[in-house]
Amino acid sequence: MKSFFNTKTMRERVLMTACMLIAVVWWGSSLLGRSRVLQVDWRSSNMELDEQQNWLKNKAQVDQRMTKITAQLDPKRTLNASEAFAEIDRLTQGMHGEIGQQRTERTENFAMNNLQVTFRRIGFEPLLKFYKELSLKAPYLGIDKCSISVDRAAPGQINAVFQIYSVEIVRPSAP
Amino acid sequence: MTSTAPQTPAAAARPQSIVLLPGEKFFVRRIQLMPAQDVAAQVELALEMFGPFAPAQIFHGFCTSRDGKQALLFAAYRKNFTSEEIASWATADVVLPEFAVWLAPEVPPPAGTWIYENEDTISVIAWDGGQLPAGLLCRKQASTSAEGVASELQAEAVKRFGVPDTTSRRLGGNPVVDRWGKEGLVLKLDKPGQTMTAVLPVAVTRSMDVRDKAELAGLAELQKRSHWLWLGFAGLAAGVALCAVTEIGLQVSGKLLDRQKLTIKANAGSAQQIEQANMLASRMEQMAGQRLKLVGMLAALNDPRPKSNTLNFVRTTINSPTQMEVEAQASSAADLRDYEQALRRSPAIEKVEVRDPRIREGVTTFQLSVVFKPGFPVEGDSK
Repeated sequence: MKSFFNTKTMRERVLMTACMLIAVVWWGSSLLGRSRVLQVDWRSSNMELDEQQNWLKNKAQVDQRMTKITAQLDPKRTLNASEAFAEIDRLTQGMHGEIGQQRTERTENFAMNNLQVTFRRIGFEPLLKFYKELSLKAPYLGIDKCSISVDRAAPGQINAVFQIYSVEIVRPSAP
Repeated sequence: MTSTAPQTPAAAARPQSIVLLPGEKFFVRRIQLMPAQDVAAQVELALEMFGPFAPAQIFHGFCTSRDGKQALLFAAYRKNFTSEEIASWATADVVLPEFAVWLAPEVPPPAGTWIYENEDTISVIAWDGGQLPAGLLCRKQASTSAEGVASELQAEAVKRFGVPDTTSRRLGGNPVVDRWGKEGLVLKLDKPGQTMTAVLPVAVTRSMDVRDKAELAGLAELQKRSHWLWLGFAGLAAGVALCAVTEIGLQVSGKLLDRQKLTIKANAGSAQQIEQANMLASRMEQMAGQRLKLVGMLAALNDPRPKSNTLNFVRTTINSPTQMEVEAQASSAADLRDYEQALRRSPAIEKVEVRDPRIREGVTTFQLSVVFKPGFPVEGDSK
């Protein structure tokens, strides 16, 4: 290649070198950018794969836990979304509560239904009664989160929001 | 007459070559060198003193002895060469007289003379035991016989250089270039049976170049530029090759990544189900183990309140069975201080953190973050 290069005139040699320089700069910068993107992609993909492999590896352990939990529950006392809705409606009779925002998280063996109950301008006694009746349904029906605040416009009255869950056995575990 | 190095077809394409000029065109003189002084300057000074022409009218070069104590300078009148000949030297690598073949014997020859006969030229190389010849005499044989010319030259050499009248070698053939490279210039005689070979180091060969020194400097500069240009080109070509290898690597890496993503996508559903099951299992275990005891939590916060009933809860948020956030107000900062101290003393509470306390129009507002100890709160103790 050196002899070929040296047979060219100085102008040709300079032009060839300039073309090569442009090629290296252009291609090199493109490669640099793409390799950075690829590196980030690889890192993200590897993390995702590791996490996924970790879950897949622990499948037996998670299944075992689920079976154990399911075995501790009485399928007859569990409530599906509609049953939970109806039960909460019954418990809030006369309290003018709003029930909404239903959401269900489902697995192979059981599901967890969530719903939100909102009380506005209610006294503490009816709220306590609701809580006590709800406590009797534990652990099939219970409070996940709650927020209670004083109603500034109505002294002695409170507003409360409850996130309530219900457990539903989808497929009873084998004895 | 000029001769050039034998070249392969590939090398022939190159502009570099060695040009050997006829020795009889040169005036030769051996000089003693002053140590630690510039040799080229000493040679130029000697040329001014001994040279038959003005320095501007001659081509000259020199060869130093191995011990650096002597130099053999040689010069030729410029008009001895045609303008075509001179122009053809522009692409040559080195231009030097053909008697360079005598200037690098491995061992200094004994005092005496060598006679060299080539076509119609007879040369006598006079040795006086030094590393360089004491002198060189060349003459074309015209009508007289070769032996006659040789005898005349030998007699002249004995007279001029004081060497013994003995001839130790008779040589013939054309000097040719055997090799030219980093190890130097190797010259030999092309006549079969001749054992004469000279190896001239690169620096010595360069000093023997007879071309105009200013032109040589320009040529050297050009060659230097060409060399750097070649290095740049070669480096960039290597860069392009590296880019090509990297490109292939990126493409392969991209394909492998795509394959890995397909695997992830294929297992995504199963993994998500397991993750969700695990989350639900954790929640179920938590709820089965410790349900959210709203009344117990409120009681644990209510009991340490000041008896003066000057501290009220405005908002309570419970996000887990052991943790709650409270927004409250008190009629004085002292109440807040007392209440916080009372909470810290409570056996049910592990951690209390007061945030964002403010006083406005005599009312102190603040936020509390409370973490209960394991096993607390306990219900049935509310008042």
